Amino acid sequence: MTAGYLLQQLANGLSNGAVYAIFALGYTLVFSILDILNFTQGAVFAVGAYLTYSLMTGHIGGGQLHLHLGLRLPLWLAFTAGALISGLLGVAIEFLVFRPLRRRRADPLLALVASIGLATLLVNALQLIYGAQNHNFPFHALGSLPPVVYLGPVIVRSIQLIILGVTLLALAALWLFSRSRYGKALFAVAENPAVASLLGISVSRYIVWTFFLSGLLGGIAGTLVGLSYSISPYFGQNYGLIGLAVIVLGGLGDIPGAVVGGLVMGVIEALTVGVLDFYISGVGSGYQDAISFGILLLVLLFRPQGLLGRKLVQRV
Amino acid sequence: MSLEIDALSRHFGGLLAVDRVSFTVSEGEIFGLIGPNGAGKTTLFNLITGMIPPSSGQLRFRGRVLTGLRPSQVARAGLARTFQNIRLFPNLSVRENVLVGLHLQGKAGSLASLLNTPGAARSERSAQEQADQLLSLVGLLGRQRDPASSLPYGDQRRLEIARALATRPSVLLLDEPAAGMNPSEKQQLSAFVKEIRRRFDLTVLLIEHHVPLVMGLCDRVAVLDFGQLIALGKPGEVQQDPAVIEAYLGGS
Amino acid sequence: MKLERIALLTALLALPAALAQTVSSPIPIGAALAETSNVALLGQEEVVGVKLAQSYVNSHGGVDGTPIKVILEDTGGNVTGAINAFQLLMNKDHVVGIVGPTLSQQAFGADPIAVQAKVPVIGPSDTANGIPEIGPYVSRVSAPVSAYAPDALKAVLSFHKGITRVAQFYAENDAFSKSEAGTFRQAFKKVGLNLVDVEKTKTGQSNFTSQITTALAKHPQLIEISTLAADGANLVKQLRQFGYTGQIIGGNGLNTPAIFPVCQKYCGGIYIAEAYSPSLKNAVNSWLGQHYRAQYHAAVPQLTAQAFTGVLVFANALSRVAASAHQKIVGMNLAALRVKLNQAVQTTTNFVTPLGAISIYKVPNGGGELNQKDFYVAQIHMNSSGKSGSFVYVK
Repeated sequence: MTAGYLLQQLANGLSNGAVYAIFALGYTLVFSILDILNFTQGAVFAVGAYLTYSLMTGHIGGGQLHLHLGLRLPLWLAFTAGALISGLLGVAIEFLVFRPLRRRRADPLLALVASIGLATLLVNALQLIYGAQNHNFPFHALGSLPPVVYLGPVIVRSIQLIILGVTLLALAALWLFSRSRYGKALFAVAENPAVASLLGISVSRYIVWTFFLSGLLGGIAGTLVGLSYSISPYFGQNYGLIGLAVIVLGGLGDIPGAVVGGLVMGVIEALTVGVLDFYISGVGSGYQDAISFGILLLVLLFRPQGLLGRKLVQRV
Repeated sequence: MSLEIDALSRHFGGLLAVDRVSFTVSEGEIFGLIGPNGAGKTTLFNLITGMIPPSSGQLRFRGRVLTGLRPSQVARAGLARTFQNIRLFPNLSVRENVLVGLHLQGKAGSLASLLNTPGAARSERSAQEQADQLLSLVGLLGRQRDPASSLPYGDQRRLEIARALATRPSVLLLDEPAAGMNPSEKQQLSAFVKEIRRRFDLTVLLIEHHVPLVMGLCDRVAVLDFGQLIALGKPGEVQQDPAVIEAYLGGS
Repeated sequence: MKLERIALLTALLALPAALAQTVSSPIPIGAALAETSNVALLGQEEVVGVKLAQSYVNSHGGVDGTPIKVILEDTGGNVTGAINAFQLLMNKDHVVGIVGPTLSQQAFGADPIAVQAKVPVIGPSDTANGIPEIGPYVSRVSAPVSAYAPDALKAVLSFHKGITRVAQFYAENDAFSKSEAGTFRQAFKKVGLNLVDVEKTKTGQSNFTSQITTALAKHPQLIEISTLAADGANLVKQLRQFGYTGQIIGGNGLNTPAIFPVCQKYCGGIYIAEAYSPSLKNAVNSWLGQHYRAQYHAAVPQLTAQAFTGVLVFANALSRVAASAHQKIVGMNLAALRVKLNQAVQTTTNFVTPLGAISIYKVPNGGGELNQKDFYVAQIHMNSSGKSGSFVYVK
């Protein structure tokens, strides 16, 4: 096993982990503020990818519907519009599902189940409209960019560099936001909504913004993964599950933790395959999930507050 | 006529926690609220700040009805409070706690701050300066970056007051500000409350058990017992009131 | 009170089943296929097949003059869905037999229900080992991979001399892929290939970079892929992008044009072992090719042909049952007919279908296994735009 080989596996893990990170951020934002797992995140992820696809190719349908939009947007514009609409979808989900349930003081478990139901609905709507088959972004989507770039001994798919870049950009934006008074106010709402409200912060407005950001991130992640592979109505599901593991790894509701958790998860997966399979074929890839989730269990047992390990917040 | 409390009641199930309480706090007054444990003082604070809705009665501030408003709207109307059991944001730093209070002063929108526009950056800098001024006022300058939870108890109380002041209130409600303080700190507290009243043009409403503090600080005092207002007047008068003596010394 | 009402309701519901049910007209044939979930990708092709088969049979005189009607129930992608679909078809729709389910995995769960109820089942795409052995009422028209994997391998080796090192990727959580991979490993041994690496994947997985890095470190010259369609296509794309220039042979999962939009130009050159060729010349295959092209403007996928054949085998067996009983099928006792139909299915001999002439024979202690004469090896050719392509038959 050469250093180049290990570096390659590390790059594989980081680039995949970046998607986990950006996906998990959407989960964790909502969790941090409402203590609710929003399972529609995986569906918003898929919807975001289809939105960008349709805006870019001018084509909606493939299932029960065949429509041609009058316009075809360049990738960056379709991407931006798709992400913004995904953000609005997040807001719609807050107004249609979570807010009415909170008003009725429903058990958080009900919100969870409702979000699973809505996620199923959205995914099935996608299948109705686009069919079950895979759609692919046009090969020229990335212009004249080569499919892979060589960084010394390491091969990286260009799209994965883009994913890494966008993830870092999203993080930087979140970091700037978190340093502003609005960011502080958001953290305050997350820590104690009642007290935040007494300081004049409109809690419900911040919740709406949180859902917008979370939907936006979901849409971005979905499009990036779609660009990288292909899209089908169900392609958010695997990420939904891993995303859950990632936010537990990073510490529930911990925003930097979600990013670190995502990258760590990606690297663990890659090294499990890369190291174990190198010596005994099929062992690492066969037990990849068992090993990743085994590590997750260990983290839960010894660091229930997550990897970055702030102390568990007690809520008043 | 500043803060008018008009026949405010609140029951929890069969229990009347606040029973048709009426009084008026004048502009610039330091007004004490005393009474035995369980008399309904904190519930009254919760009603005034909109944290719980009253069962009946009305609350007006400068003629405007506040009853039915959400806590954030009450805060924007100019009322701020502290808690008997301190409620800071423990994971935020000392300065961040104050910045959250300054939230209301922002001009640039949240999108502008996300994009870090020059206007937003300027407004952020001025917010930082205001936060540090407030922290220097309560003697916490130099600890801005520490997590709020790392402060000693007395400092946490002062930080909570600074955070409340950051919202630029007209009325400040202090729930047992002297709890847990030593005698010299209590002495300073009295001067401190008078100082911030002067500097910020405040009306102060405070719940306090420590009798010498109340006597020395408050312009007027209201006494609650079993949710009812049993006495109202200057500290010296109230102290002599037989009903008050009965409430404190009688069985309960 | 409440309990009594429930008991009464249950009794009422059970009543029609208990009464002697007879076969209605048109003759109902069930199709339990995946119309939703990620398996719908395959199920969709089969749904087209059974619908076309209905119009083929009915436009060719039906069963002794009686038309058939294919009743579809969605199985979704999992075993529970398949069991539900089976139960609806048997107890609500009173079908004579069932074509389905889509996945071998679902067959292992749902077929025993049909065996218990004595309802004949024909698997259209259940190619794992051990399907007929589930029970006496289970048959299939999908040849097991073991029947054609070694031949396909030999064909590829004859085109590319000097290949000795092979690596394998397979979806370990899919019964069919797993069984297919096992068959291929036996075939590797048989033809003397050195298996240098095995990588396991999951259904729905899209990123394979770490598995690919590991496999390529062992320098394979041939890679065999047993996964579901979209996953395999993504794998091929990443293999090529990571610089793999050797040969690729795909199992049944890659045997669909549905992979074209995913791997696009990278699909080119993949070898596929096939149980069906759209260019096979016989009357029924020509009819299928024409009618499929008229609607979908493409060549018939293997799964469509196999599902079509499933319905055809039922119709043929029904005609033989009617002939030997000198009686119309409609009006026969349903339970008795199902038993006879099953016997007829399992004595299908040299019956000409889109798959060529096929026979179905009874295996010891089990149902009906397929005997198919013609197998094919296709190579994918993509056109210059990289968007569409075709399966070119090389053997």
